[in-house]
Amino acid sequence: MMLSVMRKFLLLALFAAVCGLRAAPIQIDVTGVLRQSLSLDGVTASGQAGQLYLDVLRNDLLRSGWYRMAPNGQVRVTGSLSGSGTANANLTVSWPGKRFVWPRTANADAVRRQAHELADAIVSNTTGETGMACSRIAMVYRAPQKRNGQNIDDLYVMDYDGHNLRRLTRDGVAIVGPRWSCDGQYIYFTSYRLGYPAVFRVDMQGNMLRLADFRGLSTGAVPSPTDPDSIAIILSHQGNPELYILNARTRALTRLTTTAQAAEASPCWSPDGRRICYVSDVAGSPQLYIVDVATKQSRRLTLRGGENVQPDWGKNGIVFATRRGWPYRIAVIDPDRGESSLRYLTPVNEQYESPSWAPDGRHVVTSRKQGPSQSIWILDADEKGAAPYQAFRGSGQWLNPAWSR
Amino acid sequence: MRTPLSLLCIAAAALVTVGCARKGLTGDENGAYGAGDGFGGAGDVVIDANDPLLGGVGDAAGAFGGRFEDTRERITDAGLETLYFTFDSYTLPPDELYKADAAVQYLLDNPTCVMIVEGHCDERGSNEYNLSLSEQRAIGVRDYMVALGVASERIQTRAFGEEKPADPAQNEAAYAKNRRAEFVPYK
Repeated sequence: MMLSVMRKFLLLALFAAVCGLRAAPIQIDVTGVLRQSLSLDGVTASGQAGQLYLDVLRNDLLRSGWYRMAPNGQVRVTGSLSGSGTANANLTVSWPGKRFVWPRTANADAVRRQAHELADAIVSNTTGETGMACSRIAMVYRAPQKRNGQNIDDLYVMDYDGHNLRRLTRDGVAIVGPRWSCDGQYIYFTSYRLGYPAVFRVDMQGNMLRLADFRGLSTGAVPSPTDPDSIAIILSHQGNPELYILNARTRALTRLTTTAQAAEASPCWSPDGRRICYVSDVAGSPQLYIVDVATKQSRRLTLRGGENVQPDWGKNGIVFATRRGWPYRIAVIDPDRGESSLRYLTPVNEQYESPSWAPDGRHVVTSRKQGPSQSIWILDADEKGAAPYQAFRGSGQWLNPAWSR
Repeated sequence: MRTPLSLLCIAAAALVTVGCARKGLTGDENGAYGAGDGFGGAGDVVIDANDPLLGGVGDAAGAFGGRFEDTRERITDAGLETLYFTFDSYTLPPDELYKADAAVQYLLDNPTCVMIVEGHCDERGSNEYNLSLSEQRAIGVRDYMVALGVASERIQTRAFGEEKPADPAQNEAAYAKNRRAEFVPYK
């Protein structure tokens, strides 16, 4: 009896596997549930802080992409938000068969933060997905003028919804990068503050540390999601730009590429920390490659297009900027299925660059070029997702955004 | 986090000592590291002496100020011409080689001088890739010069990516001027 059940199960599994292979969809499906209906009608908000709390919560839930607002929704938030300075929250979140309560007090300067935390709690409880409401975005502001012919940049950070903009560096020198540490404490970037490119990291208070400074070029540093001491980095001290892993604890270097006639750039880690996607022009144009960290075996990922650059690896694939014709578009590709899985996230006639995944693995922050200005825009990689929107309305040139992990 | 200056000096001295010892053992292979000279008084930079990454990781020519611009004087009247590249390429164009030849001749004529080869790109393309591409361009020029008989330690490369355009305009003529290697001699 047991055997026969097992045999049936195996057959079924085999059948499913074969079907799965044959029916492999051409496009990447961003996993998730259909949009749930959600109702905030049962919340009574009073006072300035209470109203702000509700406004932030509503915006977060709409931006999350998992809900549509409807009366008597499947997910219901009820209770009260009150207070003019300090906010008092006394809420219940209920959805079919389940509920949690949210009795909290937030000081005036913590109202936005706490509303973000509630939004993420609702998302994770009702969808099983990671929220993005508490996340932050780092980006570079480029001044309109130049100094000694060189770009004047500074690093900024903001909440994902465009609030709490803060300036982290005050050097006014060219910056390349940035990348976040997985704990959200540090931003790694390449700065010309010494006159030549070297790798620095900065914390949220603006404290800077020179991390790597080798002969030739040191750039592209990004710590592993599974081991913060393992830092992928581009160095040229052994001849020409190559991809290495720098162990920040032992200071040992592991070289992953050997391309004497080619330049490597832009490393990013797979979510499991076992592979690194990077850019190399070993085949004549910049293309994406994937190297297995354990075996150091590299393979080419992108096959078409004049340029495929700026990869960022999330749970739903590798997002990158591609030039197949002009201008750059943002595309997502399955690292295992390659070109056949490629899907564009931006239209053909608009120029977006520098994509970076949100912690939800669904949204992507980019820099959009419109005439002389460059601004920060957010894309929804879900096929039924929202249209791109501008995350932050600063004027001038805002570029190279990086979403906290 | 501010660190008392004395503590910082001790830590820096210790690291420099370690770095020098290490340098003696391993030459300039990814070995030495240190807090670097020009760093302590550098503006608003704060160093946490307890941080295992103090001063970062580097090598003799990097973090130790082995960079020509730190110890030597720039020569501005050498009259060396800028060498230009084609789009997305680090191959030295044959009709541009005479400029590298002139730089070689300059170093052979001035045996105490050294040179930095600056690599640059036009603004198209990702600035991360362009940074690596500009280094590759500068290295290609340096390798050519070394092949013609200049000692490799007399030439250092600097990658400027797209961060320092010769012409900030956004047209093909400007781009052509920006894809370049500049020869900067020091004495």
